Amino acid sequence: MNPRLIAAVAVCVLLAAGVAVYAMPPGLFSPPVRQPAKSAWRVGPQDVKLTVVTDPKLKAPRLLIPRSLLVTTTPEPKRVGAAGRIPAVMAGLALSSALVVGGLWLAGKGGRRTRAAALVLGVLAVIGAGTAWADIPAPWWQPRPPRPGPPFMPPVEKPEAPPALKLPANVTLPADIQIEVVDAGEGLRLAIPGAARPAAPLGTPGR
Amino acid sequence: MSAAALPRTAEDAPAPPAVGLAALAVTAGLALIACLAPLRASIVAVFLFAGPHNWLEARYFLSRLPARAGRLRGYFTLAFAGIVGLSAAFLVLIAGPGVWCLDGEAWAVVHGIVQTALILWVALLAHMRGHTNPRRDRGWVWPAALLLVAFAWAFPSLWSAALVYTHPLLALWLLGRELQRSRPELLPALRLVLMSLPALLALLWWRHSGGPEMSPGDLLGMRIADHAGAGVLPGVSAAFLVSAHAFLEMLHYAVWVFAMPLVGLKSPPWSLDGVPLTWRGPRWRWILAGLLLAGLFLMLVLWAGFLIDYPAARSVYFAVAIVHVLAEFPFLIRSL
Repeated sequence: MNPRLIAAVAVCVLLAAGVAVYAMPPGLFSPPVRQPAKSAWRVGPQDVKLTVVTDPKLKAPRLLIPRSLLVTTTPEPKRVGAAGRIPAVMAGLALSSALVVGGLWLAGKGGRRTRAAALVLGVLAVIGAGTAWADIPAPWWQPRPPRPGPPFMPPVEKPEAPPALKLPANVTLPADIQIEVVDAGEGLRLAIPGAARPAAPLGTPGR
Repeated sequence: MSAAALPRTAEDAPAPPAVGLAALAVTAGLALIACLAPLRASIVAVFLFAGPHNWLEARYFLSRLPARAGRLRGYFTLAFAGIVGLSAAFLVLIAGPGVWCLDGEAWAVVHGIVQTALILWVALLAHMRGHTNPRRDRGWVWPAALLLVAFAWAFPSLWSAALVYTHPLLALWLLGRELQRSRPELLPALRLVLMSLPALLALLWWRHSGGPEMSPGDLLGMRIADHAGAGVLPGVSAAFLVSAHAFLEMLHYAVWVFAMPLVGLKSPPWSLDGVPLTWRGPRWRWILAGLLLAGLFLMLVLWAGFLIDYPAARSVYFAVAIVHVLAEFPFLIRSL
């Protein structure tokens, strides 16, 4: 067998092993650790349904606010698994192997000037491409992500005291009411003390 | 007496300019059809010529196989093993997401493995070709192949789109080799066609870049647009991609259905005269005749499928047609 081929294969294997060890992130083959879901306050107006119900056990009107209206739970970001890293590792391995095999091929043929010129050109091309690639945040056909900056805080306006309005279903409220954050539910519920009456969504004509 | 003073034979004489102009006119006509009605052109071209061009391609390859493999036994064994194995692998790749429920990451890995196998198979064929007469230095094949492997892993969608657009051009390359071998006087006509391709593609780009974006309303139109790479290259007009693909597809069919039988076959396609494998005996002649008849039968089945359910038959055809795409590589490399 051609000694040059054996040398090329040996260099490729060594390089492949080195790149694989370097590129392999810690815990590549360990089971993924589940991160807790992140929560954040919901800021800004929301469209919710208000339902007025009566509860004879209550002593004061109570506004029941579901937890989902106050906080938002961001889904856990998709974890890039072991399989997701393989294409980048393989591309790197193939590129480095191409450089090694191409260099060995050039070394075995042509004059000294040709070899030197090819080597300089190859190194310049690799360094130049690597530098240019590192400065490009995304391929040209993909939209660039927004640059990180200070978090946007909407200006907080002090709400003026709204004029008192008559509520539907002949409901009258005192100046002070209770609020309660509940786990379940989708819309707001206003529970008022009194005899049991059928629930009436806000906006339905009063009985 | 110098070589320049030698009398030229009729075969060496250049073809009249009319041949080149006729080839150019046909190419420009195909580009015009693809420009005006890309979806219809693609549908009609596949319906009419998908089957016949495969059959004629198989017939041409039969005529290029030697009667005895001899020292080429390893080359052709590797070629046929690659055609069969890679065709199966590509079918797995196509059916993978649906049948084996591969997610995106697993599919990307399987895709990379299959494409790597394809590139290394072609590189190995080229390497083996370099060790047979006429011998040439093919040392550049491996670095080039490894660069392509890196590209296929880094940009799988772009690589697939590149394969879709490269395949029609392989036919022109094979035609060039065949012309050089048997009808060199026609080479200027082919060069004229090749030189016109960038200009015609640029015209298609200019025609479609400023116009309304293509939005095929039916499933078939969406499949054709996807096949042309409309989802892969979002910055490029889908209308241009579909028309460019339809143009190159029609050119590919024109080469295999009209040009290659005229140039590359010594006998009519239905005749086995001049096929070296038939020299091995009457049994081989019967086997080859059976193969050609089976091909004709498959062609009729394909046409029936197109008539019954065109979109489904087209999808099946493009999945199975990978066989003829792969078969072109060994014969092209052998002719270089």
